[in-house]
Amino acid sequence: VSTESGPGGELLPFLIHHLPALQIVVPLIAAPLLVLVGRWSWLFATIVGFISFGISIGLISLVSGGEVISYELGGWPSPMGIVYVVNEASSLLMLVVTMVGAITLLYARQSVAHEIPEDRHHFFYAALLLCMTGLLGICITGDAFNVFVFLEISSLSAYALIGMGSSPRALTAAYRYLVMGTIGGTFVLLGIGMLYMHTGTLNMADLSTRIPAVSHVSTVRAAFAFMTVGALVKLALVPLHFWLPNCYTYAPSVVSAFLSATATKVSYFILLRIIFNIFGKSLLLETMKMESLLLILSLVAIVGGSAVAIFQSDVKRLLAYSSLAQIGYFVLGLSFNNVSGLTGSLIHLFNHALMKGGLFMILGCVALRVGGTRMEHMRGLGKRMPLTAFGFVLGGLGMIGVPLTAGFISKWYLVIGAFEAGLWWVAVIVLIASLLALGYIWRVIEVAYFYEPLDDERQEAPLGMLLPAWAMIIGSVIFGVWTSPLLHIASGAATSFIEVLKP
Amino acid sequence: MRGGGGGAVSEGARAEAVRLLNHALVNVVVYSTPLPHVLMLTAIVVGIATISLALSLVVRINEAYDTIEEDEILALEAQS
Repeated sequence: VSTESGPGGELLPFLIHHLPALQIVVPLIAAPLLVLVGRWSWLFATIVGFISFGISIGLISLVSGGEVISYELGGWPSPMGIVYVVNEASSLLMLVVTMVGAITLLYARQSVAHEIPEDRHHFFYAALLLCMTGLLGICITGDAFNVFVFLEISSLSAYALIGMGSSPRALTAAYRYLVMGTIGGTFVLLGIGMLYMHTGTLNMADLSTRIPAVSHVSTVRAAFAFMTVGALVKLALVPLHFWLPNCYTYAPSVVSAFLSATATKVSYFILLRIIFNIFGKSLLLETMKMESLLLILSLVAIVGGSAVAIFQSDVKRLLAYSSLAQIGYFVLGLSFNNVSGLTGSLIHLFNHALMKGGLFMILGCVALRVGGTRMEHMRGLGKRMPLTAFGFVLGGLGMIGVPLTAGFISKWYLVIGAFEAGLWWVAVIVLIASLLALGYIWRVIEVAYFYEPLDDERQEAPLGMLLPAWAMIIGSVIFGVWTSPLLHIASGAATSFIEVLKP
Repeated sequence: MRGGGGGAVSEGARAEAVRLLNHALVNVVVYSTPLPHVLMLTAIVVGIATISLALSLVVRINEAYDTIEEDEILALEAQS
């Protein structure tokens, strides 16, 4: 397709042709503009968020039939220049990021006004847009080094966002995340450098054709180890998770909602691309027995995360440990190495973004009206803020995996994947972990509905925060009932990953 | 000017041309690819950004806790 048809020609085909670039460029340019303008920052950022959301809806509708869009940046042909690849998997991830980003920005106005000093608002929104840019870039790029650059863009802005939390502990949490995240990012960079040394290319498709010839070389195997561990640090899979609970607990409510719903998902996508797209056709997965290692780690994360969550006194921290368990579910589906398991993971990724984002938004409402998110702040919430409390109940049911919620569909596919892989006992562990989830959700519900409130004050959260939170929660229920479109895209993406694995 | 000695001169010029050509060929083969330089520069820029962000966080931590010793910060956090 020629890139010379400038705006002088038909505008709409021109825009559609450049949609992959616009997806990245729009939020990237908007962030510094926002700092320069300084005023109306919330409105500006929200408009940009919804434009990005629209672009990603356009992209997913272009590729939902299984097509792949390959966009050459600057017109440089594929192995030389950087290429943006839009397929079902990457467009699904970008839809999650921009959807959560747009809804979070809508929600952000009152929450940010409450939690962050007025003179830093424009920096906050700029960092949020940059974080979104980085996450989108990781999804769309087909160049291994470009992944590192976008990873650092999203991570650096995430450190800054977490550090804006009102508690001084947000600073130490952000610093700890910075140290861990930089180690993870550097591991990815080292791996990419080693691969470049042995193959002379950075393009992922090119790498996957050249690696089989050198897959016996120990440098390439070391590269695989570095890149996988680096991605796992960013993903916060147990035992590399120590940075996560404090970050989600002390970050501003908006940031907790946005990062919990997007950042770990995109890190999981990096892991998928390292395993399937880059090292795909070689036998590294089989020779290194990655599946059994990932299976054990993910089960430890699922059971351990859920069990530790039960004993938390801060509800935000409770949800953070629950996130660790959900990360375990993503990796569990990957470890089965079959289409059903990976489909389950990808559906769970979408559903968990809605549920956990919605739950963190609900907690933001509680923090605004009651002044904190510890268990004692939840007392009598059913009387004090009935809509907020009921939103938590619905989201919580999704986390448990009750039928008719989104969480049920994803667990169903994970269990099918377990049976297909011949691991019936894993299905039993998933069931036990769901009971543990019932335990930690029930604790909050019990305090919210059966304990008397501390005072008689009754005030519902403002509509500007309640509506976006409920949009996420209702979305998770809708996708629990109306499953076919998501299932179609997720199974298409999973099939494309797995078929690359089996030559 | 183009006398009997002309042949000898052109022989010398030809040898010089061949030498230059070989030199050029050698230099074309042993060229240096710009890609690793670009990668290193990008990684350095990312590193500077990370360090400056980390240092600014350290400054903020010092303002909040009046110390940057980790054990003292952990003790303060355990109290609260």
